[in-house]
Amino acid sequence: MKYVILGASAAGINTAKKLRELDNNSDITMISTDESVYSRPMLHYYMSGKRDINSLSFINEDFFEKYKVNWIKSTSALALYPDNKEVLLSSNEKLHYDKLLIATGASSFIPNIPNLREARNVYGLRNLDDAITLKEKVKTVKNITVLGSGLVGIDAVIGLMENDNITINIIELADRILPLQLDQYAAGTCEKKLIDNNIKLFKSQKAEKVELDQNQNIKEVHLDSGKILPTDILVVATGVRANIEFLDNTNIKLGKGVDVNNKMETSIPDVYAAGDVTAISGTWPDAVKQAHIAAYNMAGHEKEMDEMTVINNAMNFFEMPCISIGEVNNMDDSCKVKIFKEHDSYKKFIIKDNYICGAIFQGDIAYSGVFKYLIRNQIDISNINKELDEIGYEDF
Amino acid sequence: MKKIIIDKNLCMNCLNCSLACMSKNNPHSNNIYDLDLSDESNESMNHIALNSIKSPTPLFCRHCEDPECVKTCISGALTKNKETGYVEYDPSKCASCYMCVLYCEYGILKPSESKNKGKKILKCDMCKDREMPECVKHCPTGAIRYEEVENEVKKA
Repeated sequence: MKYVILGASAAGINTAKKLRELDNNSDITMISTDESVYSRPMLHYYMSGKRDINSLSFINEDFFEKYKVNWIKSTSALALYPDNKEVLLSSNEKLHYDKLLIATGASSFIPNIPNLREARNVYGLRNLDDAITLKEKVKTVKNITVLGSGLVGIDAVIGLMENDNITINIIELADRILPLQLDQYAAGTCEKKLIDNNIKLFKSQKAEKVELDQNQNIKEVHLDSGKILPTDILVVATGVRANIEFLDNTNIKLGKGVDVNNKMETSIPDVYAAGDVTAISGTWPDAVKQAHIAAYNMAGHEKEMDEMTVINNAMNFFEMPCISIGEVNNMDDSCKVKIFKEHDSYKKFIIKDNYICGAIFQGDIAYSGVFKYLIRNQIDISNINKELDEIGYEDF
Repeated sequence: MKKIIIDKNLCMNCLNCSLACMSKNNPHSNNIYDLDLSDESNESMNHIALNSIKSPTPLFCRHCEDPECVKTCISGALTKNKETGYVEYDPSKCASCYMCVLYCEYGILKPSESKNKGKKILKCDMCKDREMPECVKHCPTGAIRYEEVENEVKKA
């Protein structure tokens, strides 16, 4: 059996590892555009100088040897030929597979704002190259504008803000930062930390257009509020798009990403997908879980994704741990909200009927994993004679 | 492999297990008489919680067979040792992202509250350099025991 894995990030690496655990004899070949293995959520540590390229890795140095994976780096997949079971690589080689995993990830999305897509000084924070470039560029500029204040936007700010003599602007369409993860109060706590660090925040505002100089570099960002932000570098953090262009010649079923069933099978036999390329979730844990399911099925062990999943994320910005589980904002009239505040700690629970459907923890996040269990499985909590914030695994 | 087996009915909430853990992890001395309880950097990896009928429940890392904390770790700090079965934690690799805290549905993990530990997580290491975990050694009631269980790695 010959397994081919496209991608060497959370999904690709974890599929390879699980495949090897399940099948000691087959060939595993991994193709990656990246020339090193690194953890994307840690890229901001590289920018701020807290980690070097080696310590961005999430695997041991002997990984490829230990798991007998033939890794072809700095190489991309250009096309898939399912009839011949071949992948065309950027090296011009055609690689045969018996089972293929697509884990090519996603790329920063550049929104369709006038002049923005033509501009040169626009960067995402997605790949190691982005982090390296931003770290270099920031030394020579004064004004940085970050478009979007989701997880990646805030990561970018944190990675850059320790540089002296720069101004960082953040533009956010919503009325608060981290709008998908946090509510007004919890976001406000983080916003205060940004403002304390001299970051300029432009909420409920939209970039209307960018003004370019003769070298096609952005010099100004114009907001719909009329404000004009002088800008030497623009960081886009407005979401990602799945890396699926190389599948154009196939009839593989696509949605926002590669469509998969709950065995991580695509519409093409023997072709699987996992991670950001599926556009299902975008979090590291989900990529790994999908990778494991893909590996089991690729190796002939039938296994399905757990249906009971819930949107969630953990954050640690400005040493302020935050956890967000389930629906934290979109609640209907039948929902009740319970809030517990204690100096640095904020806990919010959204209750529907007899179960919790969403929660935010900020500051004190100890043992909060149990709430993920309660929310995910819609566990009836009406019989628990305790304050919500005191519930723990002992109660089940 | 050996695991910590819990019989919550025998627990009387004496907290000897937590003190033993704190003492073992005290960098200054492993003697219980030297344990400074007012020093916040002395923390326990285990805890005992009262449930809604006020019955004490020892909560310990289970060193899960298919650990969520390992799967969700973005840095490679948490790993499953296939030989011992233990879930190991290397704080020097940890990125303090707290995904493991979110994904431990047994509600065992939390960040250290001690400022000088750099907000790493508190994770039981099973006292793997000792003959038995200190918490078990100091449990007077047998509520926590250190026992051989079927080798999950071989079984898989």
